Amino acid sequence: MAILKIIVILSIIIVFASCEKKSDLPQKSHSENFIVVDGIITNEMKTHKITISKVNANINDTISKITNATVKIITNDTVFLLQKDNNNDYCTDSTVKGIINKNYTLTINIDSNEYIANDIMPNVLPIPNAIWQYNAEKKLYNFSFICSYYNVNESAMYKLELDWSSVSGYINEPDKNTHATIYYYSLKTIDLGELLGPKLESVFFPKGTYVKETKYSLSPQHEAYIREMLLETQWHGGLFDAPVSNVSSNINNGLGFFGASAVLVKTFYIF
Amino acid sequence: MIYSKYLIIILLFVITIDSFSQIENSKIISVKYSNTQLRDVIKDISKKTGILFSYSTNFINDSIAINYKAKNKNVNDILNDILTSNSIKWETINEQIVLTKETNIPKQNNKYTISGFVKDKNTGEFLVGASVYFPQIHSGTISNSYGFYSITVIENNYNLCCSYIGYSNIQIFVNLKRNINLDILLTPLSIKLVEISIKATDVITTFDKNTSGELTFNKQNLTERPSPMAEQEIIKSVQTFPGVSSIGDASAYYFVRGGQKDQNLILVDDAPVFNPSHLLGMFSSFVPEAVKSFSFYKSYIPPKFGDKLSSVLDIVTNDGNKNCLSGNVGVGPAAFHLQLEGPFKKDTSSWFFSIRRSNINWIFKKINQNLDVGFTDFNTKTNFRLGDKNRLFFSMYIGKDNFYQKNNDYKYGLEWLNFASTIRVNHIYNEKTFSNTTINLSKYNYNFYFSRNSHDYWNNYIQTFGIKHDITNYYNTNNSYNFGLGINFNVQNPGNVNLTNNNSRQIIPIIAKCYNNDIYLYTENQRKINNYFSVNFGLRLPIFFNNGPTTEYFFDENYNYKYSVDYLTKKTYNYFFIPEPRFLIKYMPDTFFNVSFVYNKTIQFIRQIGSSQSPFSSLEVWLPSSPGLEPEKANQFSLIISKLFTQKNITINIEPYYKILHNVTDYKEHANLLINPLIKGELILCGGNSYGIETSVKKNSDKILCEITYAYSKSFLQSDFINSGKKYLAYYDRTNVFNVNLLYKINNRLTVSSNWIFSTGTPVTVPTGYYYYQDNQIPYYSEKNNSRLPNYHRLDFSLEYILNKQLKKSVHKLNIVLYNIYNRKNPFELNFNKMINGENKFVIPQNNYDNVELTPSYKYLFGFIPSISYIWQF
Repeated sequence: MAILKIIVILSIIIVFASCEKKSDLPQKSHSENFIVVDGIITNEMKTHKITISKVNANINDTISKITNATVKIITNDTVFLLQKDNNNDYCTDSTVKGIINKNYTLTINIDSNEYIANDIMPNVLPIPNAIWQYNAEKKLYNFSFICSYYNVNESAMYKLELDWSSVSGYINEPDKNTHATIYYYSLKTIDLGELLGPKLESVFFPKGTYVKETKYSLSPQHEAYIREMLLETQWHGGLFDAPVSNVSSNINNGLGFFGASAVLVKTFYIF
Repeated sequence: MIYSKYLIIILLFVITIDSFSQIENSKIISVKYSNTQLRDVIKDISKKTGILFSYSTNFINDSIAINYKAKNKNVNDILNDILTSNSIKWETINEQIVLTKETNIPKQNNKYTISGFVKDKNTGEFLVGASVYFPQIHSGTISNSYGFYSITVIENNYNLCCSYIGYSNIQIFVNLKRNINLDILLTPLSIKLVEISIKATDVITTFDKNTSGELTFNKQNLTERPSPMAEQEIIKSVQTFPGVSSIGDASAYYFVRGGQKDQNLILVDDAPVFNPSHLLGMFSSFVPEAVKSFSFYKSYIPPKFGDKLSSVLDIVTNDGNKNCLSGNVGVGPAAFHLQLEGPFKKDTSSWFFSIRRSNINWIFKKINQNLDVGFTDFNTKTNFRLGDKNRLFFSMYIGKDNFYQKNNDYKYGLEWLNFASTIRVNHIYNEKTFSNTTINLSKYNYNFYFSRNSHDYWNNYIQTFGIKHDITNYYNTNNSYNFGLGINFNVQNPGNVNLTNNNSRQIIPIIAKCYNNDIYLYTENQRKINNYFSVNFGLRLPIFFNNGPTTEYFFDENYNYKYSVDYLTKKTYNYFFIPEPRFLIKYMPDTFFNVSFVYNKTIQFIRQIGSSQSPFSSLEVWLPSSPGLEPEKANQFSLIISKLFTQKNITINIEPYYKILHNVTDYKEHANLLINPLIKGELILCGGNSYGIETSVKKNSDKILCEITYAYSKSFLQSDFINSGKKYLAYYDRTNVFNVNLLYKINNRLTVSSNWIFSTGTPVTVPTGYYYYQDNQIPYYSEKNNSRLPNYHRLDFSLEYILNKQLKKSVHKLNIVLYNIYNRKNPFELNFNKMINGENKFVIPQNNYDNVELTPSYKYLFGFIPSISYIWQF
């Protein structure tokens, strides 16, 4: 009887535990001539950064930045000319500050090709309180709530930058072991991959961790871009996946997104 | 004195009678004979009356079967009825009744009809698809879905033959001088406790039916294929038919000749079932023990079936044993079932019920006490004979699934329910005309509980109520007509959120429910033109109406939203009328070789919406055709070439086909299908085509059944809005599908079978580049479905062992199944967005602080699964 019970348990577990293994499918590489734009102008008075790169042929290739571009951000009354920094990103000066409800246009010229993107900066609502919980097994904490994933009133992106390098026991650790950057999103739509999606990496941190939480407002087209990006990344790989396809961009003949977001910042400690 | 060895003077039961010196042929007696041989009939009458009979077996065949009953009837009349109708003359000579052969010459122009029902002798079940034929004139018919048959031929003497797989054949001598009502009772072959001899007639029966592209099976056929967790599965069997493909393991979906998963009509006792899956697709909804037979149509689809483009699976459940109480109990690793049936009134009415319940919940409760995972099936049916011409049936199916975590505060997960019920009345207008009237109600209801703080849930459902009347007129052996009409009332809820906090309702979009109905007429003629050609031609005329109250959204040619209209009343605001001709012409140069050409036009008004390409059942909704959302259409041409080598019992089928599709559904990139009032704008209507060739070779012998099938096919879709307007492979394309099925009856108690399946891998879209945004690697795709998953293949083995050493009514069986013996990891999904964490698991990266190395990965479901089940039949 005991043996029969074991057979039944094993059979059931075998059936229901869908498994995953490394793929040995040969990759398909194709030379793509698109540029990729990654940047946001905010209502903070600071240096705003735009990264322009190429499409890599292979997975895990390091980012290949474009360095010969002329980059401007234009509003109806101002033109900001961006300069390349030491990291080959294009930056405004530190006095630039975006204004809510204003339209911003990014123009990029590379080898007589012009690329244009537009976005309007929406307002931002207050940041909800984060909730974290203790994991007894790991003796560390992780977040249980940052924002509602579905919100009909606004769409927003939350960037949490964690630093526990000053916490006892972590002082001499390398940066990658004492820092984390996590994104959360609150959108006006809901998707199956979001609700019944794949297993996410758990990020744990100790008591005493310093957290800087930045909330970015998203325009409707920025929200659409984020949603599509999530469908291709975080929300893909569960049991109910929709077909994959390219993420729409607001850059003509380009990929990525140039956004304009109002920002709120909050800092706190994990205790 | 010379005595012919063939002259038999029967002096029967002299000792039992008080020496009647006169022939007491005016005596009143009661008799009842059911497939009784003539010699025994004579013995019985002689015993009851004291009459002596005399005849020569040179001239009188005394082994013919007699079916006759009379109560308190004059023996003269009884003799006339029995003997004269079998062309036997009787006269009194020297105080004996002497029987001689009738030598009258038939009048060529008189035609008479023999009709009735084909039934299981033990249980009284009507047998669907039994062959009833006159071999001497190569003419016959097949019993219909209710076991009724009717043959009209010229007056003459015939041997009427009846055969059905799993039953002993029967021959009945019939003297057709008037219309005869004759119920044929077939004896089932003892379940494997005697050697089973596959007769040529069994193979011929199947051959005749399959040459029109119809595949009909009874429950015995299900044991020929092993299934996972030892649960024999109708859908899993269908997925192995040539021309049918599946997505892989644990899926109840199937795709027929380039059709999509929602283009297959599934009927249980004439009621549609909308989602035939349990546990996301691991099992299907139909308990094999509850099923009497099922038919599958993919080439010629009779015009009585409609509203699905690609195929029809027509399932008939058991009526119930009309003679005695019987049943079975089964226990397996995944589920247990109980089935009981019996008569209300013997030979007149009966009942049947079956319940199956999963038994795996206790395993999930060991993981978490709040988990509730399982499924239940319930089938019931009753039938009553109302006089000689009418029969009433009531049947119901309920299937329920739970897949959630719950406590007093919340419920999180999935649940769904299938309900299908019918009330049917069979009426025999006359010996040539049979009718059926059906009232059916079906509903599929799906809840997704999405909050861990409350009982809020997302709900969708589809419901249909229908009435139809079907008539079959068996005009003569060469000509029969089917016609009918019906009306359906349909409601669809394409997905709405139900909140426990009613105030919140205002901020959630409300998706308008859809009300529609369809009315249809159809007619069909099956006609044998001459000895070489026969045709089926039919026409279905459906009209589909969109009714209020609802809100319709209108889009431009680029699928951009333009405006909406509220239809506030219950009136019709739109309709579609698209005739569906169906045509089959068969050329038969000889009895065992024929070639059929088939043309089908099919229309589908209600489509299932869901962009998931997962094998599993998920949050799909149903949406009717409406202004701007044209019905799906298909035109299919196929050729069926069939050859039966009777000496070797080998059947070969070759079926090439070509199908053209219009308005089939695909989706905008990253379509937003949940809680979206503008869902219609997310759909892209595509054209498509599919073509292929299906081949099968089947060999039957006494102990071995072998079937090899191979299908080559391609399925394409095209739209200006997808893949830059270029034609692309459908995700359910399977270029090569190969299936080998072997069954070997080792002895009376032991049968082994194996099944090897191979299919080309699923088309997938793989990236041709990657780029970075906010430290995420995002894939770039240059072409849709530009690669394939590895090929799918697996080998299964099953063994059935009967524990009884001797034949008894009560049978105990063990069924051992080894699924996927060589543990093939067949992938169903490919991902490029995961990393391997410290626990060696594939997870989606969340920490963007440092560069993350992604690892492409496959997902697969089943490896090797052993299972054992026990069944007790009584």
